[in-house]
Amino acid sequence: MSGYKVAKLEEIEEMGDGRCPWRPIRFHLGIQAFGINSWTARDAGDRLINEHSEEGESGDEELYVVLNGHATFEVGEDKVDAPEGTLVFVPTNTRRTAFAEEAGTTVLAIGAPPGEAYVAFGWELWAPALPYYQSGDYDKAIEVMAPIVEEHPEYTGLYFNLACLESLAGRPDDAIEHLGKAIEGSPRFKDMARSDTDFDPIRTDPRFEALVA
Amino acid sequence: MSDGYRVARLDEIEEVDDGRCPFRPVRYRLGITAFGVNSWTAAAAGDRIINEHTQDDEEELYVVLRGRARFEVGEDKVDAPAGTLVFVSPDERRTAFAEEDGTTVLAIGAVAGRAYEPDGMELWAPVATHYQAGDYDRAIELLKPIAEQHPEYPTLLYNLACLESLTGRKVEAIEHLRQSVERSERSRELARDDPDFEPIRGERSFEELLEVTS
Repeated sequence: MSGYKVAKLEEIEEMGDGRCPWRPIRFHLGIQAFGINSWTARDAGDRLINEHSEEGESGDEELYVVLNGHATFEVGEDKVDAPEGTLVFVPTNTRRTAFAEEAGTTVLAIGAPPGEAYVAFGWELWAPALPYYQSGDYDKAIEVMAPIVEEHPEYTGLYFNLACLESLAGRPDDAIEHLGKAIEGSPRFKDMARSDTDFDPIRTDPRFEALVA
Repeated sequence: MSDGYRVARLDEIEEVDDGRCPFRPVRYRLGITAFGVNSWTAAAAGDRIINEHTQDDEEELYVVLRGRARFEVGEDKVDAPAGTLVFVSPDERRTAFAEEDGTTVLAIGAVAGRAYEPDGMELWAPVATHYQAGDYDRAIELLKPIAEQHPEYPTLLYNLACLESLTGRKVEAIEHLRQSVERSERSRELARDDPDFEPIRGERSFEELLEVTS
């Protein structure tokens, strides 16, 4: 890219996937070198950051910046009081979550994997398929995702998710093809495929074994 | 870093002054290795908070945390109150000024398609003023122990080699450049066009270092 882009945080439209809604800053601005999103709580007590670690996922280190309001982080076994201006840096393998102590609390999350090039996964475009994935309607999820994936080949992560859906929907040929495209884009998806139960239906397929070898 | 996590309050991170706009070394303080992040706070309205510069290859995102800034990007002026995000591509010239006392800007940077390599600019900062003033001997005196203690920052060894080249310490310059190149291919690329190495350009051991080995 060349040039520059400007946005006001509160003007970036929120995305929801049934968990805490977020603002897709990286996607909105076209950033390729690192991930960045923000979360704003409606009410005190809202969960701002889902409980997760990045192990086996993107492998990202994550820095959280409390932009306004007041949050409480739970990192590993610890509780961390985090008023505005607090920075919380969490390495890849540590579990973390955060709650708002005040309505309107906003947290910025920045992430990238240490020692590796950042690869944008494309979560922002995956959101419309997530409810169908969660309810087990894999055919409908594929129908929603297939045209999006075709339009955005730069997001290799979407190929990975599409392959998961196809595996679960009993379409092994499609699953193998799209997993192959994901791995071509980033070898990280080999590791992810090995441990992802969505691929159990095709795990003993020799083509799958060859792809993740 | 391993399994821990780290917490800091932005205002409690001590500022580093390299003779330009003082900054808070957020990345260094927290031990982040996957991307760069620093912050700048203006003492007074009118202060420059981001030096005018382009980047070799880093994308940079500026987030106005408090107050109000005015960015100048290319030929444009951008009004940037708190909550504004300004994303600038590497080759675009940019600078920023505070419109209010206490205006604070966070800058995040990394290279698209390449693993981030922390350069140790936080440790270079106290040396920079001597380098800029042309007091290379003093700069070497300060930098040598730091660079040798922090081989994880190949840029420091590179800068030490530059200073040694400029002061006619050929053997040391080549040795420190060698150590830097061993850890970072990027140092080799930079050395090809860096005028600081004019005094040793043409030396056989220097030219050998620049040859691509991999």
